[in-house]
Amino acid sequence: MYGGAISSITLGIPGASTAVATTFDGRPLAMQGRASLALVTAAVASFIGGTVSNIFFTAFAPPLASVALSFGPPEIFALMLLAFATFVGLGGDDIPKTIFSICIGLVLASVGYDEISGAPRLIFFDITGFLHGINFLVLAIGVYGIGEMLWTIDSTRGKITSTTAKFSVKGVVDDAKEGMRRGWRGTTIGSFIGFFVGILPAAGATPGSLMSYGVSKMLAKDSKEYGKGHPDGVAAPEAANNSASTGSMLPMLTLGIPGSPTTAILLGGMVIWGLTPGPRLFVDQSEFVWGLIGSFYVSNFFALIVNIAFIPVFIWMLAHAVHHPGADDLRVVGRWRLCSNPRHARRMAHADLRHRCFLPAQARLSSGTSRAGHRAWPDRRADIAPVAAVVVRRSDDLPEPADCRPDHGHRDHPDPAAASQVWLEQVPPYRRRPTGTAGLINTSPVSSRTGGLLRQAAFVFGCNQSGARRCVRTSIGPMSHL
Amino acid sequence: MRRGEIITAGILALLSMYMMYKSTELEWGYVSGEGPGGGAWPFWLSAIMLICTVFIAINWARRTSPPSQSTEPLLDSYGLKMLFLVGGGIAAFIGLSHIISMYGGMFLFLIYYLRFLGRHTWALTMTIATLVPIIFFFFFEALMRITLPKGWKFTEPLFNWLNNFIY
Repeated sequence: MYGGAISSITLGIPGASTAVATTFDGRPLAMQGRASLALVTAAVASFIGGTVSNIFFTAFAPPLASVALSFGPPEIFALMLLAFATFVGLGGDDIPKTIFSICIGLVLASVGYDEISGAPRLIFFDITGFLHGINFLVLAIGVYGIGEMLWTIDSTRGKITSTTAKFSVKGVVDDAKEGMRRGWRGTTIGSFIGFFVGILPAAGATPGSLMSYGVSKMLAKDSKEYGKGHPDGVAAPEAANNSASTGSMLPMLTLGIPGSPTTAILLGGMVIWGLTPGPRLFVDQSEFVWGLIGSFYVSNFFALIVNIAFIPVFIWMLAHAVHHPGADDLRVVGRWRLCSNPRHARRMAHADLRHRCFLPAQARLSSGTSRAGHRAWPDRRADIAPVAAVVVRRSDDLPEPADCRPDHGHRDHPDPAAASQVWLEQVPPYRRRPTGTAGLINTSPVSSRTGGLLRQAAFVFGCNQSGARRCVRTSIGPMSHL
Repeated sequence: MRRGEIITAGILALLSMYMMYKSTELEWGYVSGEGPGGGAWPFWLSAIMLICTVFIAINWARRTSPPSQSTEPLLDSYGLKMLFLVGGGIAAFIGLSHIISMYGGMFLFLIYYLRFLGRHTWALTMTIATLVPIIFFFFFEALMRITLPKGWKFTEPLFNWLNNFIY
């Protein structure tokens, strides 16, 4: 799970949905020249989260599985509703735009065959390609990937900038100490919440990381520091997603219910080997089960070693991260790879143009927009909500593969350390004036990021639920006749 | 920005109404004994979207939203130019992939992007534009066993030659 944090921190692009929350504090840390601290904190928190989760797993596997099983459709629905409600509640003072973004995502997700009646629905201009619906990845790549590329060009005016960061072995050790000193609360919260969210069927690591971030922020005395580069904000989601990934194995092993898309694939692998996940597994295949649990401990330890050892490489990436057109090629190729459908590639471009034409007003306005018209900090409120809603709604999307995740290029401020100060100095007076409950905080990029975080919660529930379903169908279905 | 917000709201309102209209192609009310019709979900969501745009317009008129108080342009001439240049390049890339293959399209797109948009040197441009498609070819076709579009028949000799390295 640590892998997703690397691009979240170094490039500001979540490497996985589980690392979305890591971006909110990891990226500001990197922009302050403290990428090493963020990466080390993430690695150590991941290790602790994984270890705590392993201990829980070992001790409470059967009883916890029964608790997780009690979550039925009403409970899952309530979770989704809660996610949408939190979008609105914490989305700042542009509530109509937030609701609109959620709704348009849900509408786009209903394109295609009606799941109840089987009738074609919202087939625009009788284009048959819409019968299959609008694939999540098409929308995500169009909105995130190409949109970000265009935004980068517009905002940098063609001038590529890069940030640098210092690295040393002693620095890593110091960062580890500092990360644990300032991130222990987040690590603890993430470890516990991550595990218990992880064991919920079809929930997975992403909601765990988001909830942990939210709870950690809620309980923190210095919650205003969240979003500006607080180690707790990195530790909480990273501990949680690692913890949840182990937790999601619990319902899979004990009940045969995959807790995440990843475990669904693992479940398929177990079926291939003649293992039947379920309560009997602990009795009939105890050697396998306990061997697997033992491997969790070992792999967790070695992951820590490897992750920390490679931090210089990640730092190098940060220093040399520049946007290049090869990423655009990969976006199109990646889209093609998934479905070999040229329509999807075209639709991706259309999604991008729609995004570019329709959404920049919201995107720019909801973010920290300086006088010069440049966003000092990136913001994705307008991007995330429709995409999130699509994922929540759709039940037949593939889980987002890491290798096809859109690369947004890089958007570093030429002088990152001073970026926030510059923004504050340049922020127009009207943005400083409190309007209702919204003062500077509500219009600040930090607040917008927090709003974006909770929008991602929608992404979360749907992604894992649909991904799990699809994975079961795609992996077990074809294998069952073998 | 101020003008941009109201124009955007207007476009989104039209989009919402179109979605509502499309939704009525299916039953959008409650079907007795069955529940909501197939069009009910998108219809009412679109209705909410329309209501939201009304509220956006009200906020705009009252000048309570930040953009409604801004005089900055939504998209200046440079942004508009780049939008068409980059968007057009991507569209051409996708279109050309049917004709000169994905890799050929990639080659031309990289030249266009690096040389004409990025203003890099020809040496760098050609190096990257040549290497990237070749690397992608061997990565997808050889390692991943994923076949990407090869375009029209005239590209066959080139790909036959490259395939000799794989098979």
